[in-house]
Amino acid sequence: MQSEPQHLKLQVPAKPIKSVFHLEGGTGTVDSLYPIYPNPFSRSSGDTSVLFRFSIKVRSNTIVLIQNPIGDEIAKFTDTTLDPGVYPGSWQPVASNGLGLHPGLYFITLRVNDSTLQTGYINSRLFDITDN
Amino acid sequence: MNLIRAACISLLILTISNADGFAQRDSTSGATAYLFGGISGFIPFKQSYSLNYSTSLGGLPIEVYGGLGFPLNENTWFPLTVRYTRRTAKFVSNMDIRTLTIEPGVRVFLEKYQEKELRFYGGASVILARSTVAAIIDASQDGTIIGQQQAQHDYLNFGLGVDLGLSYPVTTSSVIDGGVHLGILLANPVSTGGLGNIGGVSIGVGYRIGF
Repeated sequence: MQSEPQHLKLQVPAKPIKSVFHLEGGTGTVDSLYPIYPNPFSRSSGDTSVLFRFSIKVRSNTIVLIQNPIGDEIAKFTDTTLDPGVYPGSWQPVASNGLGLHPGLYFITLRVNDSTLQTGYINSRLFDITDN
Repeated sequence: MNLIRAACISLLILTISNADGFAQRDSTSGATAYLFGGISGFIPFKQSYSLNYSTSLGGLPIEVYGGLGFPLNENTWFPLTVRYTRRTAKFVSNMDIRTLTIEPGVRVFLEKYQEKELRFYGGASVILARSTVAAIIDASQDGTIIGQQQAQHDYLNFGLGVDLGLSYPVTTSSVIDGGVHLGILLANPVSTGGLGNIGGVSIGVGYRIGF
């Protein structure tokens, strides 16, 4: 069953959780993380949110992470098992103190885990915040 | 942190006590300055940094350091160390983190000089760091990739360093130093998009010459 696209709003946790990530191909599935935009992101040019979109093939536990270049977690969207479909999302790059995040390079990482098939998918895309 | 603070205070006390002069001599004593350099292996404190990046300088897993030192007396000197580490991403090509640190510090010999014998030393330093992250991004304004472009950002940080090691006099004017350097970075937190503490342990060997 194809679900209606949902809008994800990531929250910045007060205490980021350390994590690691690896890039892997998503061959064999239609799970996918599409290009992020605008990339580069420029607040001075009027950009307010980083936009992304992903699709999942089967009902899965889905996590979207924002990570610094090292792989440390800055923000996390997780709380749900999503139905198959395409999901657009947005994220405002602000720190827990309300100020803009450090200009720099960041990853958006998609993790999809299908518990019934015991399969998983992980992919990351790099984006650039040029100013805060 | 308490360990580093205690080490710094201990070294400061040693420095002050040594200023009166023990009957110790470095083989390079009498020099007005030291020139030194060396190579190290680098082990990050942070697990994510260790798993996702590896040290690579010209294809070798080393960092390089060098600098100038100025003796206070026969047992104490003030090194100004410049250290350079380049770590490349394991998970994607064309991405690396280059860290350049400037480390003014103090180094104190912990035992008396005896000809052709090893001497223990300890040291402490302040670390001023600039890390440059560079990578290729997929440029896009609407979700369609319009090309790839180079992106690069600097991350500034500061911290504290502690050194422990051994010196061996090679000639009357030169010494081989080998030891462990611990560097902890204290600013640029992850919660604001920074790199956090990307310091670590460096185990290396260097050559020092007095002139």
